[in-house]
Amino acid sequence: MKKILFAILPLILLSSCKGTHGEKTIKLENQTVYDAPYRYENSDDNKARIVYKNGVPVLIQSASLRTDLLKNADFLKAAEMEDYFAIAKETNMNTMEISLMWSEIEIDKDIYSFDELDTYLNFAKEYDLKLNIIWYGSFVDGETHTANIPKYISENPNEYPLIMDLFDFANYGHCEIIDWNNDKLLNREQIALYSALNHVYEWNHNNDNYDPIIMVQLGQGVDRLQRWRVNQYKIPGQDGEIMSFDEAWALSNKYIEAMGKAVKYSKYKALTRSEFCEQSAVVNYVRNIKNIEYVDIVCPTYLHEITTMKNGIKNFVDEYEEMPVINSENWANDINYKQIMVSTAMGGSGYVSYQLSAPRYFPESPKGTLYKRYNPDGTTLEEKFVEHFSRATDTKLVNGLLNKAFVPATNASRGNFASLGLDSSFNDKVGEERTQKIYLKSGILVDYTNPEDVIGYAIYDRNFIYCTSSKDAQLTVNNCTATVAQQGQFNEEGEWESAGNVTLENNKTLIMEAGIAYRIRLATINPLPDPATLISNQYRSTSDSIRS
Amino acid sequence: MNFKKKTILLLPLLFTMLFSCNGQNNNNSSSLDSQTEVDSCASEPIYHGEDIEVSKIISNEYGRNIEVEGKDFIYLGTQIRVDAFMNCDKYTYADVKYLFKEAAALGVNCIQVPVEWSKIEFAQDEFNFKYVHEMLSYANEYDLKVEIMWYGSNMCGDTHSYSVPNYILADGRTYPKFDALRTGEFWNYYGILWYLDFDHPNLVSRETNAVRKLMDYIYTFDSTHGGKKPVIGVQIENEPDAFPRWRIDQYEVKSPTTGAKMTMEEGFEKVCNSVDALGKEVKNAKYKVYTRVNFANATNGSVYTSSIVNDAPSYVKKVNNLEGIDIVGDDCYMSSVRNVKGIINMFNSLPNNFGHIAENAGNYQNTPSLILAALAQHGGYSIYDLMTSPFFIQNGSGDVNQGIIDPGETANTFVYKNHYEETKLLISGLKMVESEIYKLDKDNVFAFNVSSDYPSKSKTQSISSKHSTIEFTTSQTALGFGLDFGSYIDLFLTHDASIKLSNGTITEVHTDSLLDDVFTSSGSVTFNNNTVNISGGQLYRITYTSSGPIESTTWANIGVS
Repeated sequence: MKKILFAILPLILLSSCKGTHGEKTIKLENQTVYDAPYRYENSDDNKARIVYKNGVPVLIQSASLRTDLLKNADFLKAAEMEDYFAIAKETNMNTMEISLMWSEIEIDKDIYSFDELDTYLNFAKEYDLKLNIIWYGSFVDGETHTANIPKYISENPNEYPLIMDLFDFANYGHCEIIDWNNDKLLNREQIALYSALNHVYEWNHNNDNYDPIIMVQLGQGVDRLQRWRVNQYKIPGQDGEIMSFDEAWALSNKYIEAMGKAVKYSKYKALTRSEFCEQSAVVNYVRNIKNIEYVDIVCPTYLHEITTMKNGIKNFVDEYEEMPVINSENWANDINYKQIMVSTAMGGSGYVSYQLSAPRYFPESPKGTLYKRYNPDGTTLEEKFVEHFSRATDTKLVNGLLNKAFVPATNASRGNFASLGLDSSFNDKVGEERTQKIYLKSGILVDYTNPEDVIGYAIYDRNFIYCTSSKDAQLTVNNCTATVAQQGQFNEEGEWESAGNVTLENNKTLIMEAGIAYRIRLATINPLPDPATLISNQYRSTSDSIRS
Repeated sequence: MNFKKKTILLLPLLFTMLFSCNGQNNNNSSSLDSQTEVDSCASEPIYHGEDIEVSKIISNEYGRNIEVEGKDFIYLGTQIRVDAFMNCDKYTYADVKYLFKEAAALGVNCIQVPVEWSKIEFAQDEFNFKYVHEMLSYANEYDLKVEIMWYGSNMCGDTHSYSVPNYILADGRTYPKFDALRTGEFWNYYGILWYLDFDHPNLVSRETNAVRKLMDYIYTFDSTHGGKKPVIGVQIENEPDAFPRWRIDQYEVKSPTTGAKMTMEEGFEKVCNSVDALGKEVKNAKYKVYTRVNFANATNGSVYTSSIVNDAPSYVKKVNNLEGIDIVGDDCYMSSVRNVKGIINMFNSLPNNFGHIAENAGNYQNTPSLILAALAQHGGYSIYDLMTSPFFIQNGSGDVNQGIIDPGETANTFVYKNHYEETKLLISGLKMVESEIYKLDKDNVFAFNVSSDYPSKSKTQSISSKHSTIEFTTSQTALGFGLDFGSYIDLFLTHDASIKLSNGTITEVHTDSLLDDVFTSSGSVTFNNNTVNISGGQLYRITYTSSGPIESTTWANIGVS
């Protein structure tokens, strides 16, 4: 008996070192216990949009939080990140992008810990935010960073071979190119992501089906391997020569498909997306990835200028009529708020400001963060997060304006979404010359007295014009018959909540107060005048009314 | 075995298993430390803790120069970018050794060899000096002196992950980095780019610690390897001025104190604090050598105003005044003989400085003319580089191949550029006058056939020192120099030519060698009518009687047309 005890004791001690979660073998099986909470469909105006399970459309207004760097550079636990969720909510975000590392959920081989993930989910629920998970596994920007993968993978190159061993990479651990052709690796990673989402299902079950996660991004910068890394590192292909682009694409596509399958087989079937680096148009490699069975959405990113944003979103919307377009990363710089409006006006269903606030101990790019680094000595949220210039204020303003009319903003196609105050040709005009004239494809002609430094919208959706302005202004609707105007906003159920009728001067002019959302009911709309008439009366299209 | 014995045996086993659970790596770091490795070449130490003075900057009435082991040292070097060869081209030590052999064959007397911080400190306080051991062993084998180039936190204004230990880069809380564009990006030459806060006390503490360990190792190495004193100087960082002069603007580097874009003044302050601390660490070592800083084209091409050499820029003066830095030089990257002449004078005008070209492209076909211009002005010259990394050539811009040698098909094969032999020949002549070139006024140094950037094939030129006038005539593209000591001229030309002396009368002409100020004649040479026919590649001593002082025209005959 003593012998048995002494033999068992070391084993007990060993297993207790690994954590409290039991070891089990998991297989990837398609789980059908819960319907996908988020799906996409086209609106009456034929705009692709995300809808929640109750049919209410979703307009993603998100900020990126580099939780991986908060952990690896700032050495924080998830529990210490609550203030970041609070400030995102304070900035009128409804979603956060968080990077979930494989290494933080599979802490040792087959040993899972979801404590950190739970903390993120709990914060999301507490602050009424949804999450998009950026999966930080073995493929990040075309590289493998050992900080993201479990040690049993990175320390076992015989079982999980490398194509190239590169260099130490500071807070990212060691940089290498792992062999994504290795089915064993992909299966291990699949199981980890699958398990994470199965856990989200469990969490959801215990949290009133809050449905915390809208989508999962499969890898990060999936085009970087082919477009940058192969040549940068002279990555060898299977024939020993520099890897061909086709071979590189095949590798990344295999990875994306495997991770997508993990999400779609899980109990919590989030939407899946794939993003590219500085992708301003749909090209063949984007099409190839969109064709992967488990990829729902392909995303443009880093559309640096107003015009680039306009054309980039337009290109994706035109190419994919049934896919909601999400700008999944864009610098949170001084024009971030304008970019949000332009992205939405051109048909986008989501926008991610990169990033909310930089980790304290990682260099910050001057290109963009809404807030300066976290100040731990602050006693209020304002003191903890000081904004860069007026970026956060401006972004909060636009998020707020769009939130008030998120239903028409997600329903209306770009021909019926007039963004106001984004036509630079008015910059040097004064007085009445500042009246911006925009025609909507439905036939409505909008005249907007255009104060300086203003932003707003006029959206037509199912017999109503919804409008708002960041400053006091006038909006006149022509070529239609208006009946009544109200101020108010949409509630979470997607229903308009009126705050009372307002006067419509001459049955067509609304005197708008700054920041108030209105809607005007239209009885009839005349056909759109011919182009010569529009030109002679200086009406521009919704797209043409966005000029940088 | 009774129960108590079993318990005693099992307890250590349990503890072992417990420790193995916590992920701690108990690898014995001593196996990484070459000081504890068996070095079959090492002998009994000859130093026992006393200071060893290897080199210093000395001055005389004509200027300053480097002295190595009590003797004048003519500064003729070439750089070997071992970092690039090993990081990018994946050269082995055996491959690198061939480059040392090539440097010796070129005839330079010193080489600039990088020591990257990350190549000696692998993890915090885990030092390994195998790299340094190899470099110094090769230098000793080929009788080359080495200037260590300390590649630490500031390499051309950036911090490179290939050069800095990861424990520094991974801990931004202890070792902060500046906010800037491009940080975290990969550059295939140097790894990931960052901007460490160069003078942050935590960083300075670690970097100076590494420098101290390096100098201690060099002391130990030399003590146990014959005392040949291979290391004669240390370059502190590499072109550190690039940070304030370019990087701040290029990459919008932010000040950690104001949060706004860093001012150039703040940038220089940080750079100066850093290089000063590192320089002092070198100077405090038992192995005593000079320190220097090189600037990235300090003049920006503006060497003269009209015909007057400009003052050195204020930041050059500031660095030159640092306690930890002995001398400053310029990486001018100019093929203009006139500009090289001007820069040497500009840098020689700095207090206590020895003006030198720390880097100039080795692919300039007029490298011999440029070297001659620098040396004739009481300066020094180093060629960048001996051979450019094949990786750099394949992955860089068109002008990146700056080696005087081209890579061959394999690591130990070489292709010599057209001006290689001419450069080698001139260097051989200059080395013959090592003991005396810094012992006379530059107005008494003739430099022949360097009035234009390229030597003329046929040229007749009359140049005066303060004592004599020489009419130089060549039809074979000869160039060379003469050192006029008032009663004799030591003269060397690369090819055949004739010289005719005036304002004096030749009494004797001899050829042969000069070593440690001792001229050994191998026989007299005939002369006629004060004219001597000179054979290229030989040193001549022309003894003469001067007719009296005259105005020197040496300056006016270097790089004027």
